[in-house]
Order: sequence, then C-alpha cells, then structure tokens
Amino acid sequence: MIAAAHLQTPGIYWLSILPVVVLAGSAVAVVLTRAIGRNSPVVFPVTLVIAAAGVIGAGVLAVFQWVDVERTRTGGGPYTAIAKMVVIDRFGIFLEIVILVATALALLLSIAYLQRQELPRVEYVALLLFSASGMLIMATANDLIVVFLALEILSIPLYVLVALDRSRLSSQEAGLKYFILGSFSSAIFLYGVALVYGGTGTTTLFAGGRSIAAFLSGNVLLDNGTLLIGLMLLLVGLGFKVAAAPFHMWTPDVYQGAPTPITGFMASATKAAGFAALLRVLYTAFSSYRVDWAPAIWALAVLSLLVGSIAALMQTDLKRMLAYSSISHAGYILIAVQAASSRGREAALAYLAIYAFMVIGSFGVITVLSGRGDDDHTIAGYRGLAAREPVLAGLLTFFLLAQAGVPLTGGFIAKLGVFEAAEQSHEYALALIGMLAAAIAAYFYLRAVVTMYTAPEGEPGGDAGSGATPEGDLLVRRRLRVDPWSGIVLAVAVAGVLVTGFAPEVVYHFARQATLIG
Amino acid sequence: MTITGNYYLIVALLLFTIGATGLLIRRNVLVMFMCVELMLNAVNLTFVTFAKMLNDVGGQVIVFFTLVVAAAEVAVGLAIIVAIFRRRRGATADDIDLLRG
Repeated sequence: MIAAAHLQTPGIYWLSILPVVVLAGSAVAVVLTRAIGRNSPVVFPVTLVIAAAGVIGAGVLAVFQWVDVERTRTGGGPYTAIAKMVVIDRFGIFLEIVILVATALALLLSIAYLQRQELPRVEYVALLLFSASGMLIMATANDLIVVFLALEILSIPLYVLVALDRSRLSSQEAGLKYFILGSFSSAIFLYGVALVYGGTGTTTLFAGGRSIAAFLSGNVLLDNGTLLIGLMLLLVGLGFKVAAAPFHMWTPDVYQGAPTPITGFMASATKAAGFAALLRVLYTAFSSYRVDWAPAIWALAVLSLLVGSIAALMQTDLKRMLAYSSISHAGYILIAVQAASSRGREAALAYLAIYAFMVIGSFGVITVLSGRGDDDHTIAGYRGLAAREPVLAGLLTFFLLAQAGVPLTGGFIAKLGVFEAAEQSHEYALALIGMLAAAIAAYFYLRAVVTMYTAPEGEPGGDAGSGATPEGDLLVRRRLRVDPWSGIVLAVAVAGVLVTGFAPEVVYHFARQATLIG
Repeated sequence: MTITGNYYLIVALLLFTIGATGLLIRRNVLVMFMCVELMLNAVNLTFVTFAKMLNDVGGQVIVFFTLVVAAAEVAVGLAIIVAIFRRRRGATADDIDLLRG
C-alpha cells in the first residue's frame, strides 16, 4: 500500500514575481486576441492597448517593489522568494525598469515600421513581450537554473523576431546565425551550471544556509578545478549574450540583418538582462572567487574594447558599425564589472540605463530613415542627409556624439563613472585602454557624422533644399514625415540622454540605492 | 571493476566535445542543429551523475527543464531553417553568406 506522501511545496509570495506575471500575461492575451479576432482590423489596436497595459502595469509594480523592498516586510531589505529561486533587491528592480523602458520604446518605434514593412504585426508584439518577460526573470533570478530558463525565454522569441522579415533574405540569415550560435552558447552555459552544481552541490546563488555563496565562504576547496571550469563556462555563455569579444561573432550579422527596431531592443534590453545575470552571479555567488574571475573579465573587457572600436573603423554599413560600437560599449561595462566594488556596480547600472536611451535613439532615427525594404544602410547612403533631413540628421548626430562620449551628454557621464570605478580599484591599465578605445571610437562616429553633412555628389555647395532645380524640388517634396509614435521615442531618447548629461544625479541617485542582496 | 560516477562524467565530457566540435566543423545546418542537441544531452548526463554522486534530487529535476527547453528550441529552429530553405536549395552553411564584413 502506497501512502500518499505529504509533499512540501514552497510558499509563493506573489508580489515578488508580479511584474513578470503581468507582462507574460499580456503577451498571452495578445496571442488570444489574435486567435479570437482573426483578421479583424481592430485586432492590432487592441493588441497595442494590451501591450501598453502590460508594460505600464509591470512598470508600476516594479516601482512599487522598489519602494516596498526597503520597507518592513521581513525586517526590511532584499529578500528571496519561491524556494529561493527569485530574489527581490533594488539591483534587480533597477534593471527591470531599464528593460521595461527599452521595451516600451521599442514597441512604439515598431508601430509605423510594421505597417511599412508588412510584417506580422500581432505576432511581433506578442514575441517582443515574451522576450521582455524573460529579461525581467533574468534580472531577479537567484538560481542558475532560473538564469538558464530566463536566458531561453528571452532568446527563443528573439530568434523568431530577428528572422521575422520573410521578404528579406538577410533577416532570415541573421535569424539562423543567431539561433545556431545562441543555442551553442546556451549549451555551454548549461554545462557550466552542471559543473558548478557538481562542485558545490547546489545551484542557488545566494541565500542563508544552502547556496553557492554560503558553500564557498564556509569551505576551502582543495581541488576546485571543476568549479573553476564551470565558472568560466558560465562567463562564456553570458559573454555571448552581452556581445563581449571574443564571443561577439554573431553580433554584426544579427544586428545588421534584424528588423531595425529589434536591433535597438537587443542592444539595449538584452544587454541589460545579460549584465544583470553576469553581475549577480559574480558579485553574490562568486564574490569570494574574485581573484579567479577578475583576470577573465579583464581580458574580456580589453578584447571587447579593442575589437569593437577597431573593427568599427572598417565598416561601410551603419547598422554594422553600430553593432561593433555595441561590442565596445560592452567592454566599458565590463571595466565596471571588473572593479568588483559598489562603485563598479553603480557605474555599470548607470551605463546600462544611459546606453539604453542612446542606442534606441540611434536605431530609432535609422528606423525612421530606413524607408521601405529596410535593407540599405550603407554609410555612403547617408551622404547629404543633413540637406535632405536636417532634423533627423541632427538627431542622429546627437546620438552618435553621445555614444562617443562627448561632454554634456549622458554618454560622457556613463564613461566617466566607469573610469572612476576602475581608478578606485587601481586598475589603471584598464582605464587607459578604455580611454584609448574611446579615442578610436570617436573617429568612426565622427566619420559617419561628417558623411551626413557632406553634400551629395554633383551638388556642390549643398544647396539641395533651395528648390531652384527640379532635382532640388524633388528632394524637398520627398522629405520624410516622422510618425507621432517614433517622434515620441526620439523625444524621450533625447530627453534621457540630455537629462543624464546635465544632471547625472538623476540616474546615479537610483543606481547608488540599487544594492545587491548580501 | 566498478563503474564509478567519474566514468559517466568522462562519457558526458566526450559527448559534449563531440557535439561542440561537430557544430564548429560541419557545414550542414541540420547536422549542426543535432550537435547542439548532443551537447544538451551530454549536460543532462552530467547533471544526473552529479545528482547521484551528491545524493541530491535537484540535479535530476533540472534535466526536465533542459528537455523542455530543448524541445522549444527544436520547434523554433526547424521553423527558421524551413523558412530559409524554401527560398534556397540545399542546407549548407557556406551558402548563407549575405551578411559579412
């Protein structure tokens, strides 16, 4: 006779995962709307309302958590929930909010784009929301298996989104490459999880009692080879997601081939989610192993900085150039990670927040300019843009200069914070290489800017807008009309970059409070 | 001779290496895809072995998660491959070379 064993199930504190539940719920609702409404013309507007409700609802809940976590629920301070699978601390919530803002901007940017490219609109929104909910899980995961699941939940919809444009072979090619290399890196990450599990007997990152952090601080391992190999494999998997060299091979191809709003989404939100997991794994679970992982991060940072900024010099495609610049930005954030101090954590968080605005702004302008087809982004094609589209050219110039780190923009503040963190940890060589890379990077950003302000061939003097010739007349009439949604995105991005540039306290005030558990 | 846990770990390591090598050197996209599956299953074997050695059920539960994720990846991956090869003949990675630089 088998007696029914009394199963002990973990209690679920729902508030801890409510932002994720709301966002994933809205994605499911979008899929259902599609199934019920079929091809009715109201389906897409309804979808947008649901998506807006999901993103805003998740955002409001995240802000509530931010306030609530320091109140006296369990004596105040960060806590873990659901059998220690999830951790609620201000570090995770900060990045959740960054991810949600990036998601909202990417969605707004997509509305006109989807219409123009005739992509499957409703599915696109659903996939974007699913991917974003995976990113939220990643920011609050407290178990290596949850990190792995979050990695897959964010990646699998992204594979589809990248390959979604079936009229362009480059989009499908990018999707296939991202899929093959992405699943390769996930498998490597998972092997790392297995080896860490074998070395420590648990996959929980941080909690009192039974966790990797507690195990490593309570025991001196005589033979820690398995554990160290596992840790390095984890770094490979996460390095791939944040596009750090030498695991960056996919980045240029995928960024170039993907639909442009998705490129912006990947560069901002995926990077934030990847760094959330990277920082949490290194700073909580493996904080006592800093001697072992710091040199690896050092090498990743230097390689990303140099590969990113030098390879960008040779690019002829603007999206591809920005992909390499995104690799070098990963290098700057890795400088902050390497510092392994609270200063480094603040700098990394502030960098991720500011970078989200800069990169979505850049890809936003490119989306607006892409026109039908979205296939031609050669830098040469931007020649004379300033004469045709003075406002858009000005905006792109602004975002590129911000990415280069020109003072009075957020990009300068972000880089300054990173270098300060490196200096404080006495990593002078790293800071020096970072500054060198910034100098190289300034060249290719400026090259793109100069191209925009160069008169197109055959029209000396740049009087294209004078309207004297029939050709000039044509150019004036062809001036793009920016749709209101994209206009909002660009305005928000400009405001974000400018405000953080003039008043860095706005972002640093919150980054300073965004402490990790432990 | 007794078969200890280490034997299983070595088999898993070999399988993982075969998978990783295959992914890097084979040119057929479907074979590359199968190599990823081989890697995931090698990891599963590692998890089960460690769970047995540590006398901890956690590692065995993880295998279920891995299986589900692998199934989801298959669905999406095959769809992408099919979408591409409707437009092109043959399934070699060398032909997919539009994006480069």
